[in-house]
Amino acid sequence: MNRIFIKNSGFADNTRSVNDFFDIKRLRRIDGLSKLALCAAAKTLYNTDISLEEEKNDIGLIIATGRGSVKQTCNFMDGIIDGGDVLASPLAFSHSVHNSIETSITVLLNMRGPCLTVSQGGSSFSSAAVTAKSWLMSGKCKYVLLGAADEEHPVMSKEYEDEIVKKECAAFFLLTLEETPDELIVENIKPDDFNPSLYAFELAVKTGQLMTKDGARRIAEDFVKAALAERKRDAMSVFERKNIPELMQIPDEGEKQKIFDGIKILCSIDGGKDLNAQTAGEECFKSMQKHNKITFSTSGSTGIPQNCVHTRDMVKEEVGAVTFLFENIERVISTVLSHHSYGFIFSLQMPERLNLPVLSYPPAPVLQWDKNLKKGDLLVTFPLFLKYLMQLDFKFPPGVTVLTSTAPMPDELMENIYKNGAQRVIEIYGASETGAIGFRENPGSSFFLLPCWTYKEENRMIKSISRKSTPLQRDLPDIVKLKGDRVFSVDGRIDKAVQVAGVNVFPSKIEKLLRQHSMVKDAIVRLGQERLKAFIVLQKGVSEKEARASLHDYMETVFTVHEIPKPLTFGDKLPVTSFGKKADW
Amino acid sequence: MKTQITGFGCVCSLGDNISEIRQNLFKPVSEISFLDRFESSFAGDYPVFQVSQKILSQKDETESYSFLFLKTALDEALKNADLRPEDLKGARVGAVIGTSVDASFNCFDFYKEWRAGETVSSLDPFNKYVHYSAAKEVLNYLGAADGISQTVVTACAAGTDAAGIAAEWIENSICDVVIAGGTDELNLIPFTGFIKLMIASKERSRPFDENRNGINLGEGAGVLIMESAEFAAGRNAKKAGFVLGYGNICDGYHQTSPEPSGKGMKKAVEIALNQSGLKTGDIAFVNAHATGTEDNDSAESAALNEVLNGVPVTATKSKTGHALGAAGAIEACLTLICLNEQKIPAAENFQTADKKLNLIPVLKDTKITGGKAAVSDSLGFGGCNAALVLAGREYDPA
Repeated sequence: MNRIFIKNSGFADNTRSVNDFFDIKRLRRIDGLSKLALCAAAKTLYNTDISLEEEKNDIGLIIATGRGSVKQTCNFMDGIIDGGDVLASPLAFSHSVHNSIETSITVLLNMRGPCLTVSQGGSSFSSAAVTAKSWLMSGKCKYVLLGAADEEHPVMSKEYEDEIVKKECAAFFLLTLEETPDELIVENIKPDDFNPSLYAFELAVKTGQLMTKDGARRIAEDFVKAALAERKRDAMSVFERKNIPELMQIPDEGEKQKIFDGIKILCSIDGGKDLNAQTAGEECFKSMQKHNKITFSTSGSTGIPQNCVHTRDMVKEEVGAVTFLFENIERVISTVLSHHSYGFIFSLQMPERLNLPVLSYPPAPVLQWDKNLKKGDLLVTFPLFLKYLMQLDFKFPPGVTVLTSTAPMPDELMENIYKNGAQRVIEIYGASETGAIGFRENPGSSFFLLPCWTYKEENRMIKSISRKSTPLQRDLPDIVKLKGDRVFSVDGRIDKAVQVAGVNVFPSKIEKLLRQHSMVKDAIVRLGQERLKAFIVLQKGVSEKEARASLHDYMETVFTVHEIPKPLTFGDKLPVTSFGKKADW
Repeated sequence: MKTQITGFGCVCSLGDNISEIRQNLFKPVSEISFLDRFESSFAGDYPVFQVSQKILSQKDETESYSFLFLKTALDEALKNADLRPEDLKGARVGAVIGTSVDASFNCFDFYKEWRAGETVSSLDPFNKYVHYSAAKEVLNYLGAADGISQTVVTACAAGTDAAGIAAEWIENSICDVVIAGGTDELNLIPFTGFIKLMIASKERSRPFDENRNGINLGEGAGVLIMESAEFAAGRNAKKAGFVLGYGNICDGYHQTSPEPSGKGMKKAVEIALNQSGLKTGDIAFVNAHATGTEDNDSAESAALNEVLNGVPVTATKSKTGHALGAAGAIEACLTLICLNEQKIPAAENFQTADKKLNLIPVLKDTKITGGKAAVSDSLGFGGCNAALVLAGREYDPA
């Protein structure tokens, strides 16, 4: 028996994005259930090489619906009850026919191949998959677009209000005989007659591509923006440029190559592949489709820069664990870059999962920001930006939720954000290695561990955390004290060791000892070319020459040979990124 | 495709079984009937084709008329195929049933009571609807609950699609035996809906006539037992006919109207013909969808004139009414009767040729003189086109 595979999948539990794919005039007479299905079907095809507009003769369409457009059936009956059969609505009748979803899709997605609608309660999807397999096996079509869609039944909603989870949802799968990482296996599905399409929806959430076309382009652009911003004094000017070709108008070929090398690591593109500004976004999409993973590079602020690989399953598990925080959000406003773990999850993956529109703005703190925000928005940002906004005494419009990273943030800042009108402030605690770990919503309060994690403790301290469904396990980089079963506080970082000539040394310990020198105001220590290097800010009035001599003697005394940083760099202030994090020099 | 049909059964306004239908199919329908099963202000104005009182009176309170019709046709098909539930032990069994009303929330009386805010006496009608599926019920009825079932709801093409998909399941070795069919009953929702869409006729339906003005609704069920050659040979089953080809193509055009040039239907027929390996000259006749509506007859005649030009066309809906999701299955049974009897029945009520259609159906019962197979096609709401190429029991698959 042949096996069938999922080339791509798409899902929708609301119709917010339907206008992104179709002319609003063409949607005028389409009912709600068909719109839901159209969203999921369009998303499924859009993120493949199949055109939405072109006529499609070699793709079969099979719709599984447990109940069809039952709201339209009820509408039609309402008409008869309220005004007698002479006043019943013909439009409601034509929409009440079970295959009206199929019709809407064939018309709006220009499908002209074999088509079918199956309706048998909770087993609709598994049954429809049998015929999908049959069509592929016989060569009747090259692909089958298999979809499931159902809406709430008015009677069920009322009579089983507290007993049954009700979910209006649609999910589509582009099926093929060509092997992909996801085989469609439906033999052991337990039928759920009350939520016939829920299984397909959950399967689509799990098996959908890691990255959409637009998402891949965005992370490549953001990577370039970040790389350029780090090198420029007027970092904000970088954010005004819209796309990679515009961004990459820089003369330095070496710098260009370095940026493309970084994109290759981020998106798992073969090192030998030639990238250019025009193709980088597309190559990112293709590679992430193939490899289903993303690699975040940490800044190295805690030691050595690291590459943290997150597979599709890890990302989906994380997204699934945070969506409950954003149930009432209608739009996402982002000031963060999407090639970092935090931005990737909260400004790209989570909105995709919840079908929320995303608008991105440069993190320039100006009072006019209120024009960018409205009720129902989630502002995805970071503490330094919020700090500057608060310094301007910025007032949030009503109904805005603020999401911030780099927990714990100062209590005073969080208090100010609330004082200045934010409806909710959600602070995420996490790291590039792990993704989001916990969250809190009040200054000074403890964090709640996200539901995707389990932990190991020692003396009421969380030592390591493990994902429930994916093989992600990490020691925590911080001192994390348990305050309850899944409640904790973050009490500072655990130092990380780096190796110099095979010997473990601790940059944070060295920073601490350097700061104790009378001439030193502040210092950062990192691993440089095979040994440590330090960036030092001197106390006012101290000359670099006298400091060098004094520090040399001091370091010889307090540090081992492997601990002594070389070279020493002096400056007026510590190097930081445009987002306020410690930077390299 | 050479899927063997080992037995078939049918119930419709022409008769309670194949034998009665065979007798009545080649006679003009003399009586018209009007609905009295449910209240409708349109009931006295729009003629319908009802299953006999004898069958209707057998309805158990717990089942729908549709399931009663299906069970009646299934019993007959099993008997004709000499297939007993115990023969199915160890076999891969499937059931593919097309329907429209029987998959819909059509509990009007329950809904009316519920919506009025009254405490409904029982949620049973609702729960039954939630958990019921015609195809699954067929498997349960046969004691083959572990089989594969599929309830097809491609509107008026559902019965034809069900038969085609069942044949594909056999051809692709998904099943050894598949019960294929369609069932539907006269019901307030489609009865009112078709009238409100202004495609129901107050007179007898006149397929392909210049003055055609819509459909007459009907009801009933048709069931075909299909078996793989190995399974049929293993139990020495007799031949009742064959499915030689199946094509289904969507128009992607409109919610209720067919694509005017009929290109979707044309393609569906072409696919079915290609699959059968037959040529136009091998087709003895077409049992057309022929609803008697302006748009359907126009698109269908355009398609048939192009792909099966010169092949006689009959229109059995003029004798049975339009049984929606059951129509294709009933018409597949009628087509097999015709092939086995070597006769094509006259299309009724045709008076004036429509020059725009360039199609005059068979006007008197006609003996088949050439061709070894027939095409039975359906056009469903939403642009579902489906066509079967069927052969009678004398067809030699070798």
